[in-house]
Amino acid sequence: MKIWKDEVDKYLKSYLGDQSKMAMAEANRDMVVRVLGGMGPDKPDIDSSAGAHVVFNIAAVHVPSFCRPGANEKPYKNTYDLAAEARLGGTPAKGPSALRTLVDELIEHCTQLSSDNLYFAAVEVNGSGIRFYGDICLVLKSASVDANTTVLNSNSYDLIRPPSTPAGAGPDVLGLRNQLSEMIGKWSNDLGNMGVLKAFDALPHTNRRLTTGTISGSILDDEDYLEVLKVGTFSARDLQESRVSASDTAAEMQIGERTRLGPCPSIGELQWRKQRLAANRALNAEDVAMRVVTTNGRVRA
Amino acid sequence: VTWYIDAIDPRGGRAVAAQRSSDLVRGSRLEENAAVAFIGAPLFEPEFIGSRSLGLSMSRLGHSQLGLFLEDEEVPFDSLDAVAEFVRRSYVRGSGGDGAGEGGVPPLPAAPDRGDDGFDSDGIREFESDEKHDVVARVLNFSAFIEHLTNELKLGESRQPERFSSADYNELKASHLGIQRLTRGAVRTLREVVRRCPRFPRSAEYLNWCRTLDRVIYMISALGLWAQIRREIRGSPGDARRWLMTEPDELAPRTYRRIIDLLVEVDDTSESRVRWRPYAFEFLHYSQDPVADLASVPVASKYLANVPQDGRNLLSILSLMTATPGDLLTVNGYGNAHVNEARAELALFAAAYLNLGNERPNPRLEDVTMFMFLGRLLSRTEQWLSANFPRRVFAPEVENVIVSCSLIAA
Repeated sequence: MKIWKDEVDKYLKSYLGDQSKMAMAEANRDMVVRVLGGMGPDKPDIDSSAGAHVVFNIAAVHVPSFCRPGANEKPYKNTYDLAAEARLGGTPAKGPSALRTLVDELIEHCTQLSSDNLYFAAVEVNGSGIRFYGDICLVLKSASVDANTTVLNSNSYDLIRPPSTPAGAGPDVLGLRNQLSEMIGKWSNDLGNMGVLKAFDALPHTNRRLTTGTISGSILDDEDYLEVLKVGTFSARDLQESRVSASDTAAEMQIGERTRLGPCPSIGELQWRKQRLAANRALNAEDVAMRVVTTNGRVRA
Repeated sequence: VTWYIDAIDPRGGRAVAAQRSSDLVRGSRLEENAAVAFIGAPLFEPEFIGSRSLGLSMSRLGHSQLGLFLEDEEVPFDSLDAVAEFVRRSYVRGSGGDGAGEGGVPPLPAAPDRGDDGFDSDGIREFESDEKHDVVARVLNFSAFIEHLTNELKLGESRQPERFSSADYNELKASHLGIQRLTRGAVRTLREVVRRCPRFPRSAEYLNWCRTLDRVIYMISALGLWAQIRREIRGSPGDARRWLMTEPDELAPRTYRRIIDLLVEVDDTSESRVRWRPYAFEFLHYSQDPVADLASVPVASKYLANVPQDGRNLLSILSLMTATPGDLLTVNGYGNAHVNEARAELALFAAAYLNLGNERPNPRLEDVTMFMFLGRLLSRTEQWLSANFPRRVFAPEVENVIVSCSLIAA
């Protein structure tokens, strides 16, 4: 496995070249590590509610059953947990995708973690997670994340797309195992330095200090994120809070306003808003706050 | 140019689709230059994304599934718009299966085991339909047209149906028939709630039932339909009371008993006296959220037989009608004219309530002015229905997949 701190040292030397820029780069490196670790700018004290967290995005309609699962039912489910439940259309007789099987096998080979008990998440600082996966972002308490949890420096499915696997080419399994082993870090020891590399790759080097908001935006940016392989499910008791994006909230409020004053929103919009309100109620009943955030976390409601 | 779904969360209203060949299970490599798009609630406007990694990862998450298959073959779509419309309609239909938890409302009052809503008895005024002017006849004709269009399509094909056209509510006949349909929807709703009255007061079930009855009282008051209800119910005051009152009377809250007392005193043969409407009742149970109101009001089981029991409410029937109007005609073998009409009347009542906005009729309006108010509301409601009916329809097997969404647990 990589020594991520050494990787950052190498990166700074090779990328910056100019020693005059090194002092600011070192300061920014320190800033990224502190922001992800939940530390203040000048003290090493850690606030467990600040910093990077493991987040899961879920559509609002699933939140009530997550908060109040049936008997013998896992609260948060992965696709293997749901295999026996009704699916839309038919079930392919040939089983899961060959590509998914390949990625699962690569992960199992490199981490000794079995996919059926893995719950894929993302690293998030201030924002509302990966919106494509759901409009409600569930933020795990730091105490609910094992220090040895595996973090990958990108989506594991990136292994089967360029440049790891050229378009149209078959996967090179041995090569991909090597690549994956280079992507792996651990939550406690490596996350800060993995975050430094990601932030420095995404942000231009200037003579300005990076801010918390900028760092947050670079750690999870649209489709690009650090993937977390959490072992085992979790429940509402493991949540620090839930988050929703300001843009979704604006849409929700506008739909509410139009419901009251007209013109009447579409049936899809009405159902979506209803499900978000129900999700909020269900989380509230479990003492989980729902916060409205922008990507850089500067505005909250 | 064929599109396939890489991953879909049908109840969450999210999917990732790619322009590719059917290789999701068999393929061991990803094609070059496949366009990829994300589709999500509430707008369902496709957004192009940079990678299939996102969709493939999504398929590992809870409630999402890898691809869409029928008999071991992937379901093809002829355009990205077709995929987006499939995801939208599946979501709307699926949301029609939301129970109390997903609806954020109290559980529906339990239905008694005995019989149906009894609406087919002789107590109600007969309805003389008219293909041109009757909104329900036109909705059912549109549903039949959608079903016909569907039957002409093969797997992988989709078609944009002609839009449902709204009636001219300046025509007196359309206005009268529309108001009569709306009122019948209101009576069906009220009767269903009344017949669900628990036998024992001072219980959580009874409190919940009272809240549900409050919602319906408010809905009828807000639409200004009390006097119309008296017109629809035939016979003596005793007959009307039997239709609308709990057994025994004392189980009904005092406010409701007062409304019914006033209502049955109205002489249904005297046009002048029918003008009376209970004044100010619309302020008693004022509602901020008409969607929650619709989600908390039950409909008789036979109208939503293939929806989970705790999801059989007015919002569900509206979702059913807008997402899958063809299915309106055939739900679970109850495909007879009376049931179809009943479903359409209930959905019309629900849609009209949603389209009220912040307008309320003055309870002292003359009948002619009141009819004008309701005519305008019906016109707005039909335009809303038209905008929410399917923009694309698919082959029968794909339409059946959409219908099945309301049975998928959230």
